[in-house]
Amino acid sequence: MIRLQNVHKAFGKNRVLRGVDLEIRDGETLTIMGGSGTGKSVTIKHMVGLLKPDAGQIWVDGLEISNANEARLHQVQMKFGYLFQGAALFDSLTVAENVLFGVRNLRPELMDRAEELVVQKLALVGLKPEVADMKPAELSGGMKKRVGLARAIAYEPSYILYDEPTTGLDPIMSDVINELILGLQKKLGVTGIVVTHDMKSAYKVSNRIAMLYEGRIVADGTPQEIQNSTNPLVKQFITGSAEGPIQMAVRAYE
Amino acid sequence: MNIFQALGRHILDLAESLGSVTILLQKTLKWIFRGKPDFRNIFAQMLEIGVRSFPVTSLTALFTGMVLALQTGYSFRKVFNEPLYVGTVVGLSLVKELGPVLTALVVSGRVGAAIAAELGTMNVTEQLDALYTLGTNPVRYLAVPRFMASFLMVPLLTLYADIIGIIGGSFVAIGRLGIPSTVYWNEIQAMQLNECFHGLIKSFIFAVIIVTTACYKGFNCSGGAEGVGRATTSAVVVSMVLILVSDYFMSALLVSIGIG
Repeated sequence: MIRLQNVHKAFGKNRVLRGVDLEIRDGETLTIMGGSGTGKSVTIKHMVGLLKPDAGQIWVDGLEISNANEARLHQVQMKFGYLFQGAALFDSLTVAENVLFGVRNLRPELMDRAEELVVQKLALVGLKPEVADMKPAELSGGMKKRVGLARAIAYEPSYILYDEPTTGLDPIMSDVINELILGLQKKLGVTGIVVTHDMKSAYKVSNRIAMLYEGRIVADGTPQEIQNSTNPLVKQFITGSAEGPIQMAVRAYE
Repeated sequence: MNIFQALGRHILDLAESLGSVTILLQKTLKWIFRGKPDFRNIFAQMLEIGVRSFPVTSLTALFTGMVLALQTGYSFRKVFNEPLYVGTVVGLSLVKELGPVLTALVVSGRVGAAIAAELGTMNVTEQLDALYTLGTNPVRYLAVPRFMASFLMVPLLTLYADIIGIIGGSFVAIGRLGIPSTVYWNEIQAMQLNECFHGLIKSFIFAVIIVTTACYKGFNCSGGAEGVGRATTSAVVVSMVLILVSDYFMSALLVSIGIG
């Protein structure tokens, strides 16, 4: 279980998180939705220790990590797989080397059956074994995301963080990724935390949706509850309307 | 914003950057002494930083030695009616100053820029975050091998540059100025080991400046392709300025403690 308690984070004068309270239960897939720049990615980066909060606490399986040292964070890292927005594959390494990168560092005991592991994880994300020897530059956007996902699940983490998994993909590939997220939850029983502003994807993959607005969680419920919400912030966001309480900064063209 | 605010902000920014660079250097050193060396990665970097810089360093050194001999020869001919001390001037200038400084400048332009661009790109494409989530410390994986490779290769390149520069000087001194080759080489051999150390010690420091600045700029860049471009430019500019400024102070210090 992951719990964020009153987490604050500012970058210079920009106060991104202003007291986030959020609980992620084991086995569920939670989606954090919210507009661009509301701090969704910043929130999940706190869970793995990529960012440290200015104030507040972060608990991962009963371990408080906001002040943890490197050795303790290493323990926490093993539990997380992270799918980055642009996949963040290492360009100089092949697909197989990318997939094994985390295994080598976090679960060296699995390296005995490295080849088998690569084939198996690539298959889980729907890629053929031939891809293993290719370099990331030879892959399409959707394939990169899938390799990124294979890399994230290779060392068998219990939590997977998906940072905008469908952004930049065509609608069909987006749905393929959604199916993968659902499939992984079923097959591996992992807990998923998805950050997205793609509502179709959010409804499809999540057991629960939380909305982040102005640095706080303003709503939290099942997809059904969110769809029927009377909260004006939620209503405006899920219908995608420019009119409403959320005023996006308009660029100074007019 | 008045002038004091602007000045204050610049000073604060500078102090902050200096602090962050020091922290990066400290982390790098900590990993060098604590972690297992990643020889494969270090050798790859030595090849990139050292071996691939060899042609451009050689060319720079060769022509610097040649022009030094030419200028010294003709200037001294005007004053003394004959080209005296060409070997001494070429040798000392190269070994104490031009060898280390020019090598460092060339390497900072070539290698510093490449390191800043590579790490910067990794940064803006979240590859540094990915390294971290996959259980690898980016400083350990990226900065340490580059640091060790530079620390070994820059002084070695400097030594090469000294030798090639002196050979270049001999072509002009002997071939064009008509100095007997025994005179030129005797003057070169009259140099003391101390004087070589003077230049070599400086080149170790230059290596640290180049690689630390480049890694810092790469690790701390933001804002996509434009940010990477800015980081690269500033890595080169900052390290060149630091090399030239620190050169004076290090030379003064080394001379005062009797090295060179």
